[in-house]
Amino acid sequence: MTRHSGTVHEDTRPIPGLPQGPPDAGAPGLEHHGDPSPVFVDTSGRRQRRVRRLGWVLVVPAAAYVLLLLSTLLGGPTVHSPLLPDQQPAAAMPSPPAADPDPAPEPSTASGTPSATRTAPANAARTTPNPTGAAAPATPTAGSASSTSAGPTAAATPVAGHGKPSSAPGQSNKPSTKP
Amino acid sequence: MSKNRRRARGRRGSVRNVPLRTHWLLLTTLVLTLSAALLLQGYTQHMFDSTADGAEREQGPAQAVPAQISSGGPVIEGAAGRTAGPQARTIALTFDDGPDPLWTPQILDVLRRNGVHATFFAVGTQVAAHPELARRIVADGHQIGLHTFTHTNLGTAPGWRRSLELRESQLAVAGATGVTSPLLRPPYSSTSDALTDADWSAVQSAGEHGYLTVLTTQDSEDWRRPGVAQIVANSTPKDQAGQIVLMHDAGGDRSQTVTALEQLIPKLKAAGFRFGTVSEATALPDPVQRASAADHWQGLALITALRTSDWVLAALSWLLWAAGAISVLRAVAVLVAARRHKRMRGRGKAWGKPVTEPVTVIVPAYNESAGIEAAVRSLLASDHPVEIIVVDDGSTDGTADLVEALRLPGVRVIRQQNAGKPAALNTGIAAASCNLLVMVDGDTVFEPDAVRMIVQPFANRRVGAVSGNAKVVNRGGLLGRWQHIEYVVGFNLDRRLFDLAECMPTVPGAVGAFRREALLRIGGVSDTTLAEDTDLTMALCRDGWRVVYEERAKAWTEAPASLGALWKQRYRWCYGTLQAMWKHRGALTQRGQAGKLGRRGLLYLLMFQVLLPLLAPVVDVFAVYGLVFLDPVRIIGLWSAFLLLQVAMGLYAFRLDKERPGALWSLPLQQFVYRQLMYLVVIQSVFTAIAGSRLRWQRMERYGSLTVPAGSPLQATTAPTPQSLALADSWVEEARSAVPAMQYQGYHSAIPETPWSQYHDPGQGDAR
Repeated sequence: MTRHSGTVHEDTRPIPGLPQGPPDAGAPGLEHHGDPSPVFVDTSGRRQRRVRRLGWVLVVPAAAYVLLLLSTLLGGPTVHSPLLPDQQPAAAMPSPPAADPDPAPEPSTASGTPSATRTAPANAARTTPNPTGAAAPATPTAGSASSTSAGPTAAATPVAGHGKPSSAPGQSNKPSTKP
Repeated sequence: MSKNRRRARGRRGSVRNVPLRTHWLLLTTLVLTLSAALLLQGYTQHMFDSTADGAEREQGPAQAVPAQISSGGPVIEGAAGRTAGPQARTIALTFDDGPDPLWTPQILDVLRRNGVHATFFAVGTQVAAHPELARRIVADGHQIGLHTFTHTNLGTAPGWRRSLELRESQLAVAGATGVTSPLLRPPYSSTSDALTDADWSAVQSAGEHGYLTVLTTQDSEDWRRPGVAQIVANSTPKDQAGQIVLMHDAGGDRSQTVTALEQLIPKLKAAGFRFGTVSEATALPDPVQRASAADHWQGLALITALRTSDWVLAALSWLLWAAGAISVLRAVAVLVAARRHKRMRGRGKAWGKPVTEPVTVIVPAYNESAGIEAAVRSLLASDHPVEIIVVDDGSTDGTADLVEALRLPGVRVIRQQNAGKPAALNTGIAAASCNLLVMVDGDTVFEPDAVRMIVQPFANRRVGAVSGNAKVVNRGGLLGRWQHIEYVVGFNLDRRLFDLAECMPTVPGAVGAFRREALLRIGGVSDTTLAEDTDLTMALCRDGWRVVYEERAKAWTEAPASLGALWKQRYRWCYGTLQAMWKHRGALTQRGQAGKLGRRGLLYLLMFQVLLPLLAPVVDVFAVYGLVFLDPVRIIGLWSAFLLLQVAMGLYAFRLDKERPGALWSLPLQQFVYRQLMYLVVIQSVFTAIAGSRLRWQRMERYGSLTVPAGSPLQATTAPTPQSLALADSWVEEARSAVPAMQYQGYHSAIPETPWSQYHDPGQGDAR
């Protein structure tokens, strides 16, 4: 770039009576003479690459966050309600082992092995007063066993008012999938 | 010629001229992320129904509820229409609305002391906020159930929301505890016989999703806080039948519930009652299952997302409040300063003896044939002796010939090869024969007394430069009007503040006066920044000179008439200012006059022209959020308050400048396009600066994209509304036609794309 300051300086007429510069003239302010390249411009392009990288570092987690939010909004666990006593007396199947033929869909409740073994005895416990199996293995927590085991003794009575005490365990195994 | 140089430069420089787009991607992503976070936050916080559980609700019809349901047990499988009830002498305590960091642990303690298990119907957002409590509930052997995600009334909620509420709360539970539960207590539910049609449909659809709805048979009514004795009485069964008792472990002060439990459990135990979870009491198999790993992790992700959003939003709202407070403070400071400045200068004789010595006016020009004659003639008409030097910087449109052909007395034309505006200015400075210099853009028209006015401050020996008052000529159209407002406010308020604080960062290239001696001391005009006028002014300030503002030195300048041209201009200003600020950052720690510039001027610029505009997109997103989720009246009120403040500042500035305040009606509209343009420019500039990319017009290529202005040059004042001013954008056109009379006409029929920034930096905040 053409710089005229050199020639300008030679042209300078001293101004009579004027102090040479203001009182607190500090730095001569000529720094741009030593640095002819434009401020900020990085000719190597390294900074631009770094900024790009930094941009991605920010974009990726942000996008991941949005995707994650979307996934939680669209997805979510599926649950299967446990067996409720059937109201139709006709459907009542007296034999507790009837639960066994149909445990196949049960493992699909996302829980894996324990659920299959759990439902059968619990089922049995409810349909026929069978205190030994009563939900004792059902809960992963130990404490609940004591209170449950007492339950089945009176199982039939309160339910009798609204629902029938008898149940069809085999049938009620997958009610949630019904339309 | 310039082509050759460009090629030469291209060989040497290794910077790819790839435009940097990362920041737009980043901005879009961040805005989307923020919107998503706000949406989530808005949903969880503001769709949250905080009406008490037992509060009276409108009773809808209940014809569709089957009799065996309304008269059946409180545990309902909606899909199959089966119910179950608790066994005799069995109590299932149920706690809704939790977990709560204060009351849930106390209730858990009471239950543990008494060796009793209960069922907790937890609200999803609460679980996400206190996952450790949910974990403790499960670990203590209690049963956990869902009470929806945001405590919403499922009966009145649309299908998508019912599903969303169930899935999200299930996820929160799965994430916090690692189990899933099909037990659901719909908020606002009570007993089976109170089910309405709407409730029943919700129960059915929940059943279809695999949920077991658990209603109550006995309401402790503890949410009313009726006193411990009353809660105990309410919770005590009247007969030997089993009961599902409704209590609350959150939603207000639950100390009565805690105390009542202490009494209730031993009392009922003594009466022969047993306690159990809902499934135990109804002799159902334990419905709570271990969540799959995928569900657990997704739940954890949801909890993390919720907590992150909370945190980010809290931080941002504090930032916004701070920004608002700073903006108000600035407004007050600027108004006070303008008033003081006005009084100080109003007394006259401010500068000492009148300055009468002749002045050299330097008009650097590159392809200014459209406006140069008007500019030069207006200067010649000055009521002050002037020598005019037109430096033609290698124009290709015959600017120099045009001026020479005029054969005006006292006007010299210097031709030079195209070398940039700083070089042209330096040529002019070298050739000037007077000690006082006025620099004018080729498209700027001076008022007759402007030159005299602008040099008066030089009566004070310490004054090294004077800023004039640039005014927008083409105020027709919305864009012109907005810029007009910006100029008036910027020049009359901000500049007065800078003047008083002795930290003027910019003397506009369009109208500024300099002491030649001062310019020579700092080595002339530097070309290392795109805003050479800001750079120059800062250098003068750092050299110890005072730079002042003379509002009576008025010059009329053309403002960009299209959004594209405005963008280009502001990009250059903003980027140039950043360059100048960075170049002179040393002033921050300097003493004396330089320190004033550094600590006052630079920090002011940093705050109001860089940081606040960077925060501005957040303001917009928050405004939409507020309108959707918060009280819209309050948001509009807040917005109006800020607008009013702006209008007040505008009115004052217009009064100081003796302008008619009519244009201020367009201020509210400024919020919608102009403001966004202004902050996007700042974002673009900051990123360009950080990345170190070379701008298209930097160095050799600065004129590469320029077009020669079309149209005839000599239409001063007689021209009707120039054709090119009739903006393409129809909305601008429309708004413009709404204004009956235009006070000013353009000086030329085409707006030249001025190659040089006329840096007037009106300084008005893009920062609001």
